[in-house]
Amino acid sequence: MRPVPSQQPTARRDTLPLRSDFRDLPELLQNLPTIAPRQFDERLALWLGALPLSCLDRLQAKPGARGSGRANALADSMRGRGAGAADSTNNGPARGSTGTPGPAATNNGAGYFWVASYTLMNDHDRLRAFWGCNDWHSAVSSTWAVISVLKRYPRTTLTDLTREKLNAHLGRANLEGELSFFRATAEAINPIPSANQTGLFERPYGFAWLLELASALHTWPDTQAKRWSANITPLATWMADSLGAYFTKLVEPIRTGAQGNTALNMTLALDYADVAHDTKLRGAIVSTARRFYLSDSTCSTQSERVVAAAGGRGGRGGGSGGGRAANADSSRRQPTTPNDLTASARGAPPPTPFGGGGAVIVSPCLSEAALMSRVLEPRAYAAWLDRVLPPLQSGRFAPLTEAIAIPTAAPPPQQPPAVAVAIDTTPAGRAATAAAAAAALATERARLAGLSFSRAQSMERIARALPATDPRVVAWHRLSAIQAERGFELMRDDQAGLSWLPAQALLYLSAMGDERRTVRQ
Amino acid sequence: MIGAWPLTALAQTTVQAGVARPKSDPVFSDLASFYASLPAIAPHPLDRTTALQLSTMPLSCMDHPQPRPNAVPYLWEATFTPVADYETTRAFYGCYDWHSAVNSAWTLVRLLKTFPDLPTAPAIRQKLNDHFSASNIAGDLQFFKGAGTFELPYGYAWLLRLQYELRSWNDSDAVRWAANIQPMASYMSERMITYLKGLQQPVRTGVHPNTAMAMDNALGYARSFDPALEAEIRASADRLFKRDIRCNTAAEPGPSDFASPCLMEAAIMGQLMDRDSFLPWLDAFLPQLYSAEFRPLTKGLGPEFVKNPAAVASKSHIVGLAFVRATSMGELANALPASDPRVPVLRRLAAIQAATGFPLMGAVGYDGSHYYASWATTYLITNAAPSM
Repeated sequence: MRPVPSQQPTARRDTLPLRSDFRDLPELLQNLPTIAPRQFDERLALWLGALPLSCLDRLQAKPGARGSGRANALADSMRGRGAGAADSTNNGPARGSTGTPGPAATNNGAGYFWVASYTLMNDHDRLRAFWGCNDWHSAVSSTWAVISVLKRYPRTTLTDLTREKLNAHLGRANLEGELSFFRATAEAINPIPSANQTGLFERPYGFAWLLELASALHTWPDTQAKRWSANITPLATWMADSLGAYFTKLVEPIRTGAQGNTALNMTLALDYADVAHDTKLRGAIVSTARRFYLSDSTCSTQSERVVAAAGGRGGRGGGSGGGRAANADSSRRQPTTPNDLTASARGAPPPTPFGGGGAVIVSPCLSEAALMSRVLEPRAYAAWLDRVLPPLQSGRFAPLTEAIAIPTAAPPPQQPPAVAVAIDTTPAGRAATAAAAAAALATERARLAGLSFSRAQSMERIARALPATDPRVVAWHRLSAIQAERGFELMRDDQAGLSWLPAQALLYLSAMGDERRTVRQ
Repeated sequence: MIGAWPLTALAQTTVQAGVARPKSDPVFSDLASFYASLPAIAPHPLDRTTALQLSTMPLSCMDHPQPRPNAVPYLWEATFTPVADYETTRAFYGCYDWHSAVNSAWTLVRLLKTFPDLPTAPAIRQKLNDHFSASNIAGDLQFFKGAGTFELPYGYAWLLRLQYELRSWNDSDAVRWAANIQPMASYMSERMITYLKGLQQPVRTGVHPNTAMAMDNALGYARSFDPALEAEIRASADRLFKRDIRCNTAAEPGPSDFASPCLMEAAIMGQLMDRDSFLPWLDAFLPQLYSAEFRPLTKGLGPEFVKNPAAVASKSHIVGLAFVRATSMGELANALPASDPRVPVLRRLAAIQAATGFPLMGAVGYDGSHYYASWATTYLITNAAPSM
């Protein structure tokens, strides 16, 4: 297939100029800070293991409550623009709101006619496994995180407590309850597409994490883990089938930098397909990945720059509304050039409203490159990478060579509220405003930490897939260490990140430490 | 309901002709031989009987509350109760969902406007009076100001189309209803302008968010009452559609499409561009009507849908597709010079589409009856009048 020039999100019209190109790789390396990769020592393991333990038993917020639980729990739950392209990540079932909708618009019309009131189900701790940590996928990834720590350091002060929690959550009845919930949810989806229909709960992101969790249990030679693994297998098998069907049916990939990102979810699912020897899932992913990404060229790394909050909207990629997925409307073309809809459909699927530019918590460019490292042979991969990513020393790639600046203020909201709200100048009002600003800053910092870890993880995966003699390998490792270090600096033990950041950090550490399994043609 | 439609027999003939059609479609080299091959189905008239039948569908759903959300709870079990005083604080709570309630109201208004002495006229007026009171509309407007992008653009465009119909009707009830609805229409028009301005590329799917469809539904109101909206529709169409060539007909219809993206884009451009620039644009955009490339836009319901009611129920959009395509084809015919040889072909193709839709209007029950009448009516008025 020939490369399609406008395959990638187009560049954001940024006011800040990019730095000029470095002459070559050695010059780039000279100008990069010399940061060694963080050691996964016991101290780090205790930190990353303790945080998720504190959220596993904290009930997910009642839907529709003001601010939907804690205001600062947003980071991992924010929906990527256009992630509705496919299934939902966090649009829980039976979402509704009580009373008059507040400024936080739901966009789905909840509360127009039917008003929901909620009560906790009976026996949630017996019939559900992943009911803590703010949302389902964070509960799953946090469970994976404590397992990941325990596997690496089997005898620490956390060991007994971790096993106690795992036993309570990964019992047979808990996971059977999960499976029957998901079966019922899938059956309840209205076959008639309606305007505001959301897809299957937690597919793809939560499903992909569940598979990552199942693969961690599957590869753990431990008496208890064998039981947990047996308990989770029926759910994992069901989700693997469902996720494979989801990937196969996608018309085009989701290229946003949020949880719905197709490449990100495929990479997680491949980890499972490899260790569980699920050839059907692996085949579905490999062939879909080739269909989506093989003919790509020139990913817009320059649009992934994270601009400090005071200077704009950070790395969320600016712009509004329309997607910037594969399309024939690239701004690179002259506005008078005919826009051939048939030709654009040949190399790339027809444009849709979905897609989006910059990174929210995932780098679209790097996540795609990390996935393809599992799909292509090293030499073919190196050639593909040359086409898709600009040279590491180039100015265009510069946004991904820099550590993300530590924010000092939260970014302004992307859309001002439809109805202007008067500023409350009473002491109580000012205190509330200050608290909200602090929470927003914490959320922003957590988001950037997650993005740093995610970049670092992808960079590790890329470095390990290139031929060992490739001169870029050294640079990729260095870049990865720079990103990860900033991730650890940005991470705080606060509500904004503790339910999901440790898992992101551990995913990076495991990419660095593990012998990566790869899919070969 | 099946059998009540005078065209049932004809439609079944079409379907059976479809069965008998050989595996490979015949190839045509010119418009005349293609036209000669089409079944001679006459357009369905919009007469009093049809109007009465069409009006009963929206009349019977306006007060049928939207379905209770049926999602399975993960952790928190929901109990749903209707909004307090919904009869006085909500306007469009029936007919399955908000936009279907709006287009059902439009259907009633339009049919009553055309046939003021329908036997159902008093019932229609009473129903509209109940739903269009000042407090109902005010409650809706307040809700939408906090509802984000809910129903934007599809529902918003239908609301504007409803308001166009009311404001262009010399009727004392309609004057009162239009006055009540105007604040909401103004709000939605402004939001629509912002929405269109922000689109970096059009939505080309065959379902609700399609950009051409929103423009088309809002155009009547914009032209007559809202110059700012009209200017934005023109500017956006220019920016988003004018350079398009060779629409990707092979991708149609999508699995749940109820509209043809290619035909809708052609139809809106036919209404916006002057004829001298539209004709070459159309030639570059759509394949010849007789060509194999055009055929995906005319492929009708297969016999399997008629034989298998369950299949129809789960594919209720396909019946809608027949009417919406027929509407686009009629709009396209209206945009061409009367002497253009494509006009009778497009009208015939539209009639064939509609003839497959009419007998199935009742076949899927409420899944279809809550919105089919709106698109059937739209088709009938598009086809009857040279310009809407």
